[in-house]
Order: sequence, then C-alpha cells, then structure tokens
Amino acid sequence: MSRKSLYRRLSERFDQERVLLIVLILGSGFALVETFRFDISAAARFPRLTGSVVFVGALLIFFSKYLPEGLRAVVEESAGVFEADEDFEKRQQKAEEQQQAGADTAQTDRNEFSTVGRPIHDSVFTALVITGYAAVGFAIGILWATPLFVVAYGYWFKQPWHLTGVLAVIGFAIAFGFMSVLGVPLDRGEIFLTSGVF
Amino acid sequence: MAFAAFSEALSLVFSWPTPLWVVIGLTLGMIAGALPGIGSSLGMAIILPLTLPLGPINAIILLVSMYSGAMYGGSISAILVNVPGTGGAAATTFDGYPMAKQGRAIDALSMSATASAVGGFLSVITLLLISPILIEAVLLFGSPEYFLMAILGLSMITIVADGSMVKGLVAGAAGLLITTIGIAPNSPELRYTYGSLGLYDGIDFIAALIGMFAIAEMLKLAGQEGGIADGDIDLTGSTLSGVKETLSHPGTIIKSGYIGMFIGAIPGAGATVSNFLAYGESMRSSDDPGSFGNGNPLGVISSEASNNGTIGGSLIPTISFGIPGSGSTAVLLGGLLMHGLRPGPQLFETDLHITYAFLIALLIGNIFIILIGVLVVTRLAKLTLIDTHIIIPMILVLSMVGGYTLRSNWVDVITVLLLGFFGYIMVRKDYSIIAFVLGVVLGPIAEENLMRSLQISGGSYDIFVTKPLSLLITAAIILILVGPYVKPALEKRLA
Amino acid sequence: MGDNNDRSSATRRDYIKYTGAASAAAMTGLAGCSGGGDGEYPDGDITYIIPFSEGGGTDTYARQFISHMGDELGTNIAIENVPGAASLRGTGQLYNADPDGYTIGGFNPPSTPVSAMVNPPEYDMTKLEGIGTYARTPFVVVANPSYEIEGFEDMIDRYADGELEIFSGKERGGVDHVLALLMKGNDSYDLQWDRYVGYDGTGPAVQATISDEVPVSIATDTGAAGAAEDDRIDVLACLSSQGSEVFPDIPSTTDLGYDNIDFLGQLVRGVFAPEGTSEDHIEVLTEALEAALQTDEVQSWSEETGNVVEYGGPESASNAVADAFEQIPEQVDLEAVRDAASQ
Repeated sequence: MSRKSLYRRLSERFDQERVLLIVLILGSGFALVETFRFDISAAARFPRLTGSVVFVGALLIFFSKYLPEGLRAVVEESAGVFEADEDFEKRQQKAEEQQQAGADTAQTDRNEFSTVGRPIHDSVFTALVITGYAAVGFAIGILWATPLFVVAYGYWFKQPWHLTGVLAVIGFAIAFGFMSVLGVPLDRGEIFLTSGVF
Repeated sequence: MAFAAFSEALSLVFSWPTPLWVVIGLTLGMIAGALPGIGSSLGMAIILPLTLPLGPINAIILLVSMYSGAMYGGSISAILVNVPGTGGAAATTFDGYPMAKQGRAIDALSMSATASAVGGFLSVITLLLISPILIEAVLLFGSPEYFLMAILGLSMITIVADGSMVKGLVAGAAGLLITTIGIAPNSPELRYTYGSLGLYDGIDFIAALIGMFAIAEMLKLAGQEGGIADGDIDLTGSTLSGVKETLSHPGTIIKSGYIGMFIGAIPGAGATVSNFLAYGESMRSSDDPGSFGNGNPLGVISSEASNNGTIGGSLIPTISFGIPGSGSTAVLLGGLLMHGLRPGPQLFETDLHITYAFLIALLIGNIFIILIGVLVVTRLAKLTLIDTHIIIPMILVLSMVGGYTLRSNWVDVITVLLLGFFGYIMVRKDYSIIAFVLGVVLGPIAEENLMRSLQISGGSYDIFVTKPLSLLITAAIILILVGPYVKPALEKRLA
Repeated sequence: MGDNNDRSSATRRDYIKYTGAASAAAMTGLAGCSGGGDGEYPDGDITYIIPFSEGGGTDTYARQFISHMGDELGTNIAIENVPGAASLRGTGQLYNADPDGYTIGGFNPPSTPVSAMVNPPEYDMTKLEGIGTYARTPFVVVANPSYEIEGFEDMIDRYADGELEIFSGKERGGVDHVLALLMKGNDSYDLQWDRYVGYDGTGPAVQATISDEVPVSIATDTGAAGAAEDDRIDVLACLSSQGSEVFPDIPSTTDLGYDNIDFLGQLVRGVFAPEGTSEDHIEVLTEALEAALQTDEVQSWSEETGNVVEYGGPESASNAVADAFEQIPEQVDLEAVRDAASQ
C-alpha cells in the first residue's frame, strides 16, 4: 500500500502545467541561444521572433501569481469573443457540463487513477505502453511490435483474451497492409531483423 | 479558363474510381464522426499517410468527403447517446437526444441527414458561385500579404480558443518555433539538426497532426470509463416523416446553413461555434422557444444544417490563404501540402481543375449523405456502442504505423509520441491545440514568405505597411491582439 | 527544397494513369529480397530508390519507365521513396547500399550535387556508378511581359542600367540560385542583378513573375510551358546549349554567344548504382533502361504529357555528376552562396 500512496502523492505533486511551461521555457531559451550560432543571419530571424514569444509568454504564465493585478488579468483572462446572450449561454453551459460528465471524467478520476484496478493511472500506462511500442518497433520493426503492443494493452486493461487476439491480428493486418500497399519497410528493425523478413 | 477547368473537373470527378473515393471518404467520415472521442480531425489525420499513393485529386477528394461525412456522423452519437461525436454536433444533443428518448430516434437521424446534406450543398454551391471573385482576390496577395495572413489566422485563433489569449499565443508560437528545426526555407542554413540527416527537413507536420490529435486524444480517452454509454435508446421512428419534416422548414435550413458558412469563413471559428449560433438563432426566431431542448425538430435541423454549412465557408481561408479555421481544415491543408498543392494562386490557376474537382465531389457527397444516412444509419448506430478499449489500441497502431510511413524516418515516430504527450497536457490545461497545430502547419509558409518579403524589399520591414492591402491586414492583426484589452478600458473611460 | 518541381506539368494530365502506376507499384511493393543467388543476374527483386516524395517530377518519371525496365530484366523493381534533405537522404541510402546490383536509384545532377556542395553530407556522391540517363530538363529564363524585354541581351542591359534589380528562381542555395550567381560573376554573362528572391519551386516562381512580384525568373522548360502558352510570360532564353524541346524556337544562351554552362543549365535525370557494382550488372541495367524508354507506353506517355524522354549511357550519368563537382566550385564561389543567402 505504501508504494501506492507514494505514487499517489507524487502524482498529486506533479503539476503537468508546470512541466509543460518548464519545457517551453527551456526549449525556447535554448532555441534562442542557438540562433546566435547560425552562419546565415536571415535564418535566425524567424526562430528568434517565435522563440521570444514562447519564452516571454511561458514565463508570464509561469509567474502569473506574482504579477501585478493588471498584467495578471491580461495573462489569465480569456478574450471571450462570440459572447452570446445569457439565456443561450446557460444552455451552452449545460451542454458542456453534460458533455463533460460523459466525456471528461479524466479530471475527476485522477485520484482513482485506474478504471481497471491497476496501480498506475490509465493515461500514464497508455503513454508508457506506446513508448515501449515505439522502442520495440525501432528494434525489431513496427510490424512485429504491433501485435505485442496490442496484447500488452489488452492484458493491462483486462480485456477478454479472444478479443485481444482478434485485435492483435487486425493490428498486424493494418501494419502489413501499410507495408504492402505503400512499400514501407515495416518488417525491418534497426537492431534486429535489419534486412527484413518479407 | 475557369470554365475549361470546371468541365475538366467534372470529367475527373465522374471518372472511375473517383466516385468510389467519395463514398469511402463519406463512410469513413461518418464512422469517425459517430465514434465519440474520434471525430473528424483525428480520423482525417490517421488516414493522411494512407493517401500517399492516391495522387493529389483522389486524396483530397477522400479527405474532404471524410470531413463532410464526419460533420453528419457527429449527430449520430449526439442523438443516440447524448454525446456529440464532433464539437460541431454539440447543439444537436439538445433536441436530438430528447427526440430519441421519445421514440423518434430514426426521425431525428433522418432529419439530421437531410439538414446536413442540404446545408452542405448550399454552402458549397455558394462557394462555387463566388469562386471567380475569390480568384481575383487571391491574385492581389503577394509574399508580404501571405505572411501577414498567416499571422492574422493565428491571432484569430488565440481569441476564439478556450483559455487565455497568452496561452493561445504561446501555443501558436511554439508550433511555429518547432517548424524552424531543419533546413531554413530559402537559405541553406541547417538549424538545430546537429548533423542528423533525419532532422534535415525538420518536424513533419503530419506527424505533428497525428500526435496532437490522435495520441493526445487516446491518452485522454484511456483515462475514462470503458464503455461510452449504455445504448438504451430504441431505434424507432420514421425515416420518411423525418425527411419530410426537415424539408418543410426551408427557411431554417437556409438560415442555419449560411450562418455556418459565414462562421466557417472566419479563421479559428469552425462548426463548434456555428452550431450553437444557428441553434440560438433558430430558438430566437421561434414562436415557441420553450419547446427547444425538449425534442423540437428545429433544434436538430438548425444545428445540423449549420455544421455542414461550415464546410463551404471554412474552405475559403484554407484554399485561398492556407489558413485553416479548424482542426479538420488544418488536416486538410496538411493533405494539400503533402500532395504538392499550395493554397493560394496556384489552386486557382494551374490547379483550378483540382479545386473544382473537390468542390464538385463535396456537392455529390451531400447526395450520398442522404442516401447513406437514410439507408444504413441504423447499422452505423451500433458504432456508438463500441468499447473504448477496442478503439484506443487500433487508433494507436494506425498512428504509429502511419507516422513511420510518412518518410520512413524514426524522427517522425518520436514526433508523434512527444507531441502526443505534449498535446495531452495542453488539452487538459486549456492551451489551444488548434493554435499549436496551426503554428506547425503555417510555420514554413509564414517564414518563407517573411524571408522572401524581406528579400524583395532589400531587408526593410516597410514592405508590410506600404501597400494598402498589407497595411489593412497589419492593422487587423493589431486590433485583434490588442482589442480585447483596450476595449474594457475604453468603455470604462467613456462611462 | 523540394523536387525539381515540374510537378504540375508532370502530373497535370496523367493523374488518372498515376493511380494505375501506383497500384502497379503496390503489387511489386514487397521489397527487400535482395539476395544474389547463383543464377543469372538479376535473380530477385531490385529496389529503386527515389530521393524525392511521391508525385514529384522524378517520381512521376520513374513510375512510367521503372516497371518496363523490370519487364526487360524479367524481375520486379520496387520503388522506394526516401525523400528529404534536398535529396541527400535517399542518395545517401543508395550510396550505403550493397553494391550487388539489387539496389539502384535515381537523382538529377546538378541539383543533388549542388545540395551536397552547399551542405556537404558524409559520403562522396561522385563515387556512384552511372547506369544511364532518361531525360534532360533544361532551364529557361522567363519575364513578365509588361516589361517588354526584347530577348536575353536586352534583359542583361536592363539589369546593367539598374532598371531591373530583382532576379528570382527556386530557393537560395539551390541550383537556380547558384545559376544566378554564376551568371552574375561570369564575365561572359555579366548579369548584374541586385537581389535574388527565392521561391519554393518553379511553379511559385513563375506565378510570382506573372503577378509581377518579381520581373524575371529562372524556370524549368516544362514548368514554364503552361504560362508561356497563354502569353502570361515571355521566354527569353534557354540556359542549355542543347536547347529545349518544349520551346524549340527559343535561342540558347550559347546560340547568343555566351559561355556554355550546361553543367548547371539543365537537369540531367540519371540512374545510378552504389560504388563497386560490377560492370556486368551495370551493362544489363543500362540495356534494360534503354529498352524500357523505347517501349510504346513510355513513348506515348511522353508525347501526351510533354515530359521529354531521352536515353543517355552510363558515362552521361557519371559525367553529369563529375562535371558538376568539378566546374561549379571552380566557377562559383560556394561560400558566396551561403553569404549571399544571408542578405
């Protein structure tokens, strides 16, 4: 149980927006610095222009709490075009709520983290399993990695075996179809099977 | 010239196997639309790599047909399970779901098909009629104006999108920034490539689209309950009375269709906005506004006529200036570029026959919408009940395989993944994905035209304000970006 | 930097056929069985690498003649598009392939060599073995008719006077730009343009000339054909000494007494094999290429679409690459290409 609560505490602490902003600030900062190493100055113009907007904008959002009132409003408030009359807005709100109830449980289920009783959040697992899919695909070829991915996904989400089997076959067929119709070497890995099978 | 291109386009569209692509596109679109959580932009994004061997005309026809089909398809789940398949069908749930609960599901579905088809038909016919004027207008635009239009489009999106404008701007600029990886347009400088040939051409925007739409959405969907809804709605009602009732309200259809078209033509505002506006207008002008929300057929008709009406409008900025107004048109633009078709004068000059061909295909498509909608929709209805754990792995496989297929380049696979994770956080935290995606799609166009403008002017930025047209666009950009902040201050001072 | 972009002209009339060609390619799509075996060459599928994407000029040509070349050889030739890096990526893949005769590829000097000279890759393109050439696409100089430029000499005079300042063509750092710099620095041409404006392909450059964003532009002959037909542009001269089949009446610059600049003035579309491919294999492939170009289907496609097909032997392919690498650095200051691009 302690492992579980540690994970829970970590995931509560982990503010996705902060991470996003840090990536943006570091990324754009790096991009800006690098432009001074370009040989051709014209090629630096656009990255500097866009990089500055990202850098300054992300910094403003990151530190919005500490900004003076006026500036803070500018950073946080929505511009709100297409404002309709009140009656209509209520209805729209109701619809959005309904939609949210059906569709966006992602917000509320964060603390329950898995709908199938697994120890990590479903979205996190999905992110991990597709990263693995890509890595295995790189090693042995996407064609061969595809059924493995589908089986791993089905096992985790406790899908019936026969269903997972059918999906694995369909997944393989999709990859095989791309390979034969488009002539893409999906059967080749970069580490194993480098010369392909078909 | 226009006439010759038109007749060439006609013969193109009716030559085998093009009509087949129309039907396949519509059907795929309806499926994507009917599956809540998929929708048109995601569906189109994962189909993009598959259009590689098709050749430009059939590929674009397939994509616009998907767009059109998804606009209708979104109403299927809106009516049957109260969850709109696309944002453009949100207002359809207001009266569509109550109708279904009252045992008139089939009525509502056939109303939606008829209204969608007529609304779509109207707007595309209008677009065809005004295309000669559009051609003249497009020819007035040179390199400086194209750069400015790209910035204008991005600015518009930041004010329309959810979340604060600064967030929108950051998202858009981040999209633009990542396109600067790779060889610079119009100069042989390699940027951020560090000797890797895989990065020479930078980030593939289609990989970005797949990541942002497909992966991000699937990550979100994975965190939700398995089944989408319990299908307790009986498929009862009458097709014929649905079609008849729809056609007995031509005023509503025409008005809603044109509201859709007008809103669609504004970059940044797509069907997501227009269906609410059309619904609101229909309610406002009704004798019995109280019946709306309790199964009034006019609610379904207005919402559905407007979302398909949006298509004709949204194509205007997309094909004239390369500024898509929505996710779906961003993918469509991606398709155009992928097949070597450049928005702007070329689509109205040398490639005019292609432009006409896909407009004609859209027109024909609307007829198929009625046919498919009326004849096989009951089968499509079953789609709304598919478990998400079946959909998710299949979409992920398509995304991964499609991503690699683009250029047989692992950089694209990494792009799909990283931007997928990035997009997931952006959606949750109210950063506009559309602004980001638009940045990625517009980046090369914007930079290339910026550089070229400065080459023409010899380095002077005056070129963006010296001609009346460029001055006008520059003024519009400033107004949009500053307006929302200045307006309240002005009002305060006046009061 | 895209393909040599006569896309619109190449695909304009063969779109219907294109899908046919693509599906034919699909059937031969399962590549990779590149094993020699003991039998007579070729004994297995051959892979043809195109360093450009589907639908470009190079791809369109290949999808016409490659299947016929396969028929001649009695085997399948699978087309593999490896686009990117201004064609350096696919060409690099060809360079690194086993020289067993089962991987060949096509690119178009001087376009790919220029890209390699401007941003040098980690391989030496001149080491590739030529198999043959199948087409030649000359460059022409086109002008907006409102300037009433009376031929190529008049144009040179007007640039010298300062009446015209802007010259244009495809992207900076590409063949057109190098060609423009060559004519500027060369005493025989002495073309005194002040600013070079680059476009993303011949189509947009011609379009910009029509709309008078720029007065004069370099274009491929096939890329200029449509606009010249409607008199929306004037064609001033052909930059290849061998002239243009699309514009037989237009003089070449050598006709007008200027230096021969064929190493840059025309694209030579060639087929190549990795270094070390045996001469016997190359001979077999060359013969197959020549025969494929003679087939009725290829010839009638050529007539219908205006895409000229012209066979040249292994040496014409190798020479085109070698000439480019020898003459361009000699006659154009390549550092200046990068510097000029910074303006």
